[in-house]
Amino acid sequence: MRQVDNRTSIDDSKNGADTENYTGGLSLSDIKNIIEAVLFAAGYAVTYKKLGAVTGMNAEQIKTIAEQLEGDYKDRGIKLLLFADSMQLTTDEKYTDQIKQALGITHTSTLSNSSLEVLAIVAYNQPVTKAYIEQIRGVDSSYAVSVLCERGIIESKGKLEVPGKPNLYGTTDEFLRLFGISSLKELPPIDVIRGT
Amino acid sequence: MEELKFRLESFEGPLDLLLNLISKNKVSITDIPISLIFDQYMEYLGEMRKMDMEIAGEFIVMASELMLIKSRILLPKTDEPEEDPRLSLSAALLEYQKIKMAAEYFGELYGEYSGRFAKETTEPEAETALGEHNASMLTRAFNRIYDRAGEKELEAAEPRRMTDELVKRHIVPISAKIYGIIRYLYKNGSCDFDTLMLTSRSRSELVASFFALLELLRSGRVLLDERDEGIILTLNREKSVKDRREKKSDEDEASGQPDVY
Repeated sequence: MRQVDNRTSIDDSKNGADTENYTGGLSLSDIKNIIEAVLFAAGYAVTYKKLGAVTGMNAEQIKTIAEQLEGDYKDRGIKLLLFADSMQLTTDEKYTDQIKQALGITHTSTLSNSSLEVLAIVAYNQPVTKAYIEQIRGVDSSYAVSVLCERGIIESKGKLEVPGKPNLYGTTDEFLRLFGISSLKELPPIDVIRGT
Repeated sequence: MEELKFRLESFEGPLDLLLNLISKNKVSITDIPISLIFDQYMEYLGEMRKMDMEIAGEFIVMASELMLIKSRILLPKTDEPEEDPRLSLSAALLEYQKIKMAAEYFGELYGEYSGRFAKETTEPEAETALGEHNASMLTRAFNRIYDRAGEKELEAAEPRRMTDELVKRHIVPISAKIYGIIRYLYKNGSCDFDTLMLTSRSRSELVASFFALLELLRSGRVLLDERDEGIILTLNREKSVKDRREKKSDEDEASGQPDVY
C-alpha cells in the first residue's frame, strides 16, 4: 500500500526508502522521528528492542532503519552512535571546546592511571572479579573499581559462583561512547598496543 | 642510583616500580638480574621511609617475594631440577606491562572522545504534594506493616533475651534511613512499600523508616504510585542527580553545571 509522499526532505528516497506503511500504521518517516525523539529525551543509549516495542517492530528492523539514519547525522553537531544492542545521540567530540566554553564548563573530565589500568584489565578480560584485577595490578583496586562503576563505565554483570559470590565486572555502552568505539570487537589485540 | 635519591616518583604499585627499575637498568623482563633489581628496590623503599611516605603493604610483600627468589637462585636445590624461580614474577610483569600500555591507549581514546556529551534524561515534574488519598493509603499500609513487625519481634523475643545484655540497643537515626532508602531504590529501581519497610528489623527501626519515607515523599525525591501490586515507590531521578553532583569524586568538580556524561 503506497502512501502520499508528504514527508520532510530528510527522508527522501536518496537511500531508496519506501513510503510503505509498516505495522501499526506508522510510516518510515514516523518511525525515524520516533527514534530520534526517544533518543533525544532519553540521553542514554536506548536498546533497539525498546525502540522496536514502541514502534511495533523488532530489534533487527530498528537496527536496519538506524543504519539508514546514521547517514542523516554525518557532518552535524550531533552524532548518532550505533552499538551492538542500542543507539544513542551525543554531540560530536569535534566541538567539545566550544560546548564547554558556551556552557561555562572549565574542568576536564579525567580518569586516573589506576582507573585506566583497571579498565584495561576489565575490557580485555571481562567478565572479571575485583580479585583478578588486583592480582594483575598487584595492588588494591577498590577505589578505581568504584569510580569506574559510578561513572557507568563498568558494571557488575553477575556473580561468580564461589564462596563470597564476588561481582563479575564488564564494560558498558557508556564505555563504548566515551572511548569512541562502537563495539568491543574494535579493541586492538592487547599484544599489538605499543606505548608512544 | 643518584636518580632515586633526587626524584621519588609515585608508582601504582610494586609491579609498576619493578618495571621502572627494569627499564632504567635496560635489562629484560625475561632475564631479570635479581640481585641488582632487589637492591635498587630496597633502596627505593628506604627512600620512601626517609621521606616519611607511607609504604603500602603490597610493596613489603613484593620485597619478601624478591628476597625469596634471590635466595632460591643463590641456593638451588641440587636433588631436583627446579624451574627458574623468576618465572612467575616475569609472567606477572609482562602481563602488567601489557595492561599499562593498554591503559595509556585508553587514556588517549578517552581524551579524544569523552568530550561527547549526552543529555540528562528529560522527565516531567513529579507531583510532590501527598494528596489526601495517598495519606490515608499510607496510614493503612503502615498500620498493616507495624502489626506484622510486632509479630516478628515477638517471635524473635525468646532467643533475643539471652543476648540482650551483650548486644547494645540498636538506635537508627532517621537520616541514616533516608540515605538507606535512596540507596536501596537506586540499586533496585523501584520497589513496593511492604518490601522496603520490611527491611527493618524492629518496630522502632520501622518507625524510623516510615518517617524517612515521608520526608522523601514530601521533598519529592521519592515518588509514590498505587497499583494493583501495591504501593510502588520509585526514586525521582532528577533530584537524585543533583545530589550526586554534590558528592562527586575529586576528579570532577562541577557544581550546578550540566553533566558531561
